[in-house]
Amino acid sequence: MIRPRVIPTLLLKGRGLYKTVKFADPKYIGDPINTMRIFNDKEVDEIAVLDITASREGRGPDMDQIAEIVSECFMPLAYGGGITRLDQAMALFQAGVEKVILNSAAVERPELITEISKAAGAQAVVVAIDVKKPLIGGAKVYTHGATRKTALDPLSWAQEAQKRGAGEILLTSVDREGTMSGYDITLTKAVSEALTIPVIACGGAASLLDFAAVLKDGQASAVAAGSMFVFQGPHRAVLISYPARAELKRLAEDAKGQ
Amino acid sequence: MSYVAVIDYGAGNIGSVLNMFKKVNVPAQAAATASSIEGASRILLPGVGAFDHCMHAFDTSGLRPAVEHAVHAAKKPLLGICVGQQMLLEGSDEGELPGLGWVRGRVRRFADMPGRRIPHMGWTEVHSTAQHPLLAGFDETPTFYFVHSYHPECADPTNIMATADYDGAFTCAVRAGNIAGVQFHPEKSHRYGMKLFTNFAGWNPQA
Repeated sequence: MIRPRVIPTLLLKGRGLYKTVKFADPKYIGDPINTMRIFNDKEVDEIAVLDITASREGRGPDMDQIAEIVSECFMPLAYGGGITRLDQAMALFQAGVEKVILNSAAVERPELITEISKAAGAQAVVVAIDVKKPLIGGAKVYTHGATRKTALDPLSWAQEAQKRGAGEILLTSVDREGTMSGYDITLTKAVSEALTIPVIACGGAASLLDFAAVLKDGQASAVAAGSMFVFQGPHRAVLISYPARAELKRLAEDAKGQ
Repeated sequence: MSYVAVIDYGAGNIGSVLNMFKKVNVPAQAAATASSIEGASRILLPGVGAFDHCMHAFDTSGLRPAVEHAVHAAKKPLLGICVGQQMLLEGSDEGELPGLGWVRGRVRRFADMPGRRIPHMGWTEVHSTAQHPLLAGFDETPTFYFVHSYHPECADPTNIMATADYDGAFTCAVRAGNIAGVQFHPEKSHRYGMKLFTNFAGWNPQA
């Protein structure tokens, strides 16, 4: 059986890596190339790099910077941020990126999912869905770094993304992101159950127990985390870490009981 | 100078593959012309995307005759990766176009099963079923990164190099003389991939 993937997410802002809380208050983590080298040495399963200002600034991916990051990366890498066209996705694949992560552009023009999926295969297309739950009313999908509310509900948008050719869903709870208060298991379970493609749970991880819970109870296929892998201790000192192989193996055995 | 020709026919993750060869100090170059294939000592056939898309791109690239000559007449070692491996077989459930047919059998889709999500995506142990130099010298069962919905089904079991398990065993590596293919992605599989690429650089099928 397959071991659930544990995926660090790195947030690019200009030339640096940052970590946010609820998509705000970016804190500087370090240099992307150096951080990638450290994750590489730790033999992480897969890595996701998200340019968090590209869509908001209305620009495309910084190809030179991405090529530099990829050259230090001997694990699968997914990149998201500012991708609005097929040719940008193809250039990213050519540079050594395995998967593109679509978010704002997929909501604005869902055909983009199909175009890239047809050209590169569904496995190369991740649709990221950022979800906010208001105190009253249903959960909604947000775009442009959670600055714009859409009328979409996460479940039906995830199903449409799958139908249009997405190979995976990166499901993020904006309310939990960076808070280290655990994943939104209810949301993850609802989306996972409605899909046949893998769902990566994101937002809120603080420990391996959170991973186990969302894999088992939330039926996620993979887990993504940011703060947990870049901060240490109550004062959030920057320290890159990743679970040991034996811990991940145990995690897989626990999740198998789902 | 001997080098690996990484066939650049417009349907492969050339960047990652070249990157990994560089990491293990094996000279390699993207090969988009017949002469760069003729000059190479080994061939790597990558492939990403749909089966027909890759076959069509390979056929129209004009590189197929040079690769066929390198493999069949000059007997150079060839390694296919992912769809580059699937192309070695006679055809695929995914497409209409015939494969290269250098390995007998077809490429099949994973059957739908409750609880089994397709594509199969992630790290899975690879179990060697043949004493093949490409999978030799690992000090533990190697784990490789997979991402695929289709896998080879060999007509002749002696062509199976390795299997993996995804709610049932499937063939994840094939061999036929100087030809080999792997379903997984050694170029994205950390030290396991480094070892496999190093093995490929030292593989001498005629010896």
